Amino acid sequence: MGERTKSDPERPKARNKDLLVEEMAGELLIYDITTDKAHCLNQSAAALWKHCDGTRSVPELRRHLFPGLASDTGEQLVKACLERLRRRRLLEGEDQRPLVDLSRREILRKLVLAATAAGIITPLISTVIAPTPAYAVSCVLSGQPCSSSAECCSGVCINRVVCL
Amino acid sequence: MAKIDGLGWADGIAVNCFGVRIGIRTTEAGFARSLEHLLPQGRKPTSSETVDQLYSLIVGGPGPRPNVQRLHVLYSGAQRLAREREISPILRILQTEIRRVVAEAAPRRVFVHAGVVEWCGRAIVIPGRSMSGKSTLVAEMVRLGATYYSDEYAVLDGKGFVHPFPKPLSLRKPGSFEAFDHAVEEFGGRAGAKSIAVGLIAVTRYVPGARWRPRELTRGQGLLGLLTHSIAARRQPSRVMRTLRLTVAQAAVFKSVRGEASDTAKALLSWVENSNATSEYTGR
Repeated sequence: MGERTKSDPERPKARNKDLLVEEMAGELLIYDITTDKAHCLNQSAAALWKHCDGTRSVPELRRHLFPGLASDTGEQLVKACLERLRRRRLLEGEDQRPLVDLSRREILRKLVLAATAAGIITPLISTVIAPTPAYAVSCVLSGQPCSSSAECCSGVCINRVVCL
Repeated sequence: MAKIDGLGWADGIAVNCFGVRIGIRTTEAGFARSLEHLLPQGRKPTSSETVDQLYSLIVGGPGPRPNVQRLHVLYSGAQRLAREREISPILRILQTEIRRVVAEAAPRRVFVHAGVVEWCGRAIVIPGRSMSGKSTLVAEMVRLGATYYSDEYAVLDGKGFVHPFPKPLSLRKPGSFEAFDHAVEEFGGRAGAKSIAVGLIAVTRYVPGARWRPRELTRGQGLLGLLTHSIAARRQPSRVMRTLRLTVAQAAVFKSVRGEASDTAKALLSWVENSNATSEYTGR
């Protein structure tokens, strides 16, 4: 696990320890070695993450990245994206309370609509878990017939009949 | 390991598969040589005195007394992998294990669990786990004239090009979990021989009654789609990410569930044909 550094929650800082970063046509692909998760940040999310240098406040990030949005709406959009980054441990200072409640879907929907109306690409992050080698190869899935534990993706063939 | 080493080994072979040295030794004379067909194509004999992975097979059979059957036992290094009365499950496990080890450890290739065919000079890659329907889709495209590359692995090189891994197609009968091997010639097809660029990545799985309604993914999302099925992703994330980035940079990526293979196969081949004709890859 990476060190947990203290940082100012009002001035977010992108984590860089134990991350592999590849840039592709405006998107950022980030592999987290500590969690074996890979993230794809679209253009907007990537720009926000890169600008989180520990010196910029949320209003400053809004002014810099989403100048066409009203300040309230723009700051909510920044906070929503920062919360997604925080949950994925892509920001330093994990032990912080959430910046925004992402379960309030109606508010998030309005943010997306406002961003789209302003011609802004809504920040998006996709995440997958890297497979273990055994999981990634051809193996027998849970509940399917087997004769040996070595055949099963789970590694366990119950009574030499079915995979766990 | 010393205990296993002390057994009487009568036969052995050593090969180099994609840069990984594999050794197989058996207690029965001539038996190891008969197992060569289990090894990945493109293997070469090696005279190296050490191997990266050693498999030891104690061949069973009738015991010294009536009604006594000695089991077949398979080891990977010092770890026992399987112990069976019948030899066929042992050989199946050995083959799967060797493929896994080669796929994970190959120093100059990235293995992605995927089906692959070639059409109009470009590869169509269908990443997916077991039982996702990729072999059926690959077989259908071969029936329609595509060149077979693999129904198990997309083998990617440092330029992001895909190489053939032409094992026999493994297809299941409807309603059955057991798979049977088929030579590509049974479908009127042929196997590819050279490395090619990837033109299309189709992230899909079979759902009865579904329709192929693809939406285009960004190249970054396409990379994640391949990473999810990359054997060495955790062991060599940096190299895997670099290779996949080169692979998707040349390709369009679509995602959808699919119904019967014939409709989807035609749609995929048609897309590659049309995109070649117009030299367009929209890619986002």
